[in-house]
Amino acid sequence: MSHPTTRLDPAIHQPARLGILTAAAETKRIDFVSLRDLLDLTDGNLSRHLSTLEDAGYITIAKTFDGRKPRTWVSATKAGRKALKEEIAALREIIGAVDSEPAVGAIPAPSPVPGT
Amino acid sequence: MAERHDHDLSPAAAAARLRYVGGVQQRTRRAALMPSFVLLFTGAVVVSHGVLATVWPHAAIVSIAWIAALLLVRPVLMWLRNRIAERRGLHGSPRLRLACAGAALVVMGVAIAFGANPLLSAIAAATAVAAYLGGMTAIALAAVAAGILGDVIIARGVQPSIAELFIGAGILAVGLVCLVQERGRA
Repeated sequence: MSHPTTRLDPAIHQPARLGILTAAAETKRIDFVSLRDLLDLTDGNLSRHLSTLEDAGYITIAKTFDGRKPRTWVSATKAGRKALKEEIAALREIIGAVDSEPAVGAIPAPSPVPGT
Repeated sequence: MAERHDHDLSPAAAAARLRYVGGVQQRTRRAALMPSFVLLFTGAVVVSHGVLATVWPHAAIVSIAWIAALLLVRPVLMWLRNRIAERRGLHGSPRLRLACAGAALVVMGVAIAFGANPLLSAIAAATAVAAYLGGMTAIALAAVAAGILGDVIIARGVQPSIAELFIGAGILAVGLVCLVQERGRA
């Protein structure tokens, strides 16, 4: 069996992208400003990470207009939710692979209900 | 964009990533749940039910009138919830609401089976699950305590309608505090 680190997905392993996909997976859709504030990212940084995730097929981006104001909405795709689930499983395995002590349980681990 | 695959991730770093994911999940859920809106609506439901049961003490008719009223205002509530979500830029996952509704239904069934107040028990369960998923453990425990307290005072002989009035007023007060805090942060 391969080491869990080999199953980490480079597209979402970067913390900001992991956060974006987590937030998107927890919602039906979330807008650019909410994501930026939630994750404390800059506009440019968020845009760059959104493009990477969109290219990987993990999120979809939709543009709407609120009056004259443009809004960007982000939604997680099925593939994105699956990738997030697998990333979380791999991270849990990394902890378990090296240290199978009960300390793993002490981590306030992400809840599988109802997000990912 | 080519990036190096992080094969050297230590267990401590993996644990930190998991904590980060857990934190993002909780913050997102908290924002999606719209606590003030839910608490104000829930408080209004409990108080209305209490008032109706006090002035018109026919349990079956009260329940029918209450359910009919809820069905009638549902489209307005959906519209209002969507409007708030649109303005805030965050539409909550239906699974989050289903988890809360599922807990409410299960506890309501248990309450009916054990002779407890189904309305208070269901509301306490839904609030507790929502607060727990949003990482608000203290509020989750307070909701459970309020549900148990409501059932205990009803079991001690206090009219259910009076108990609902007091507990509904309490929920409204907490909802108002949440609303003021949210406005303050905005």
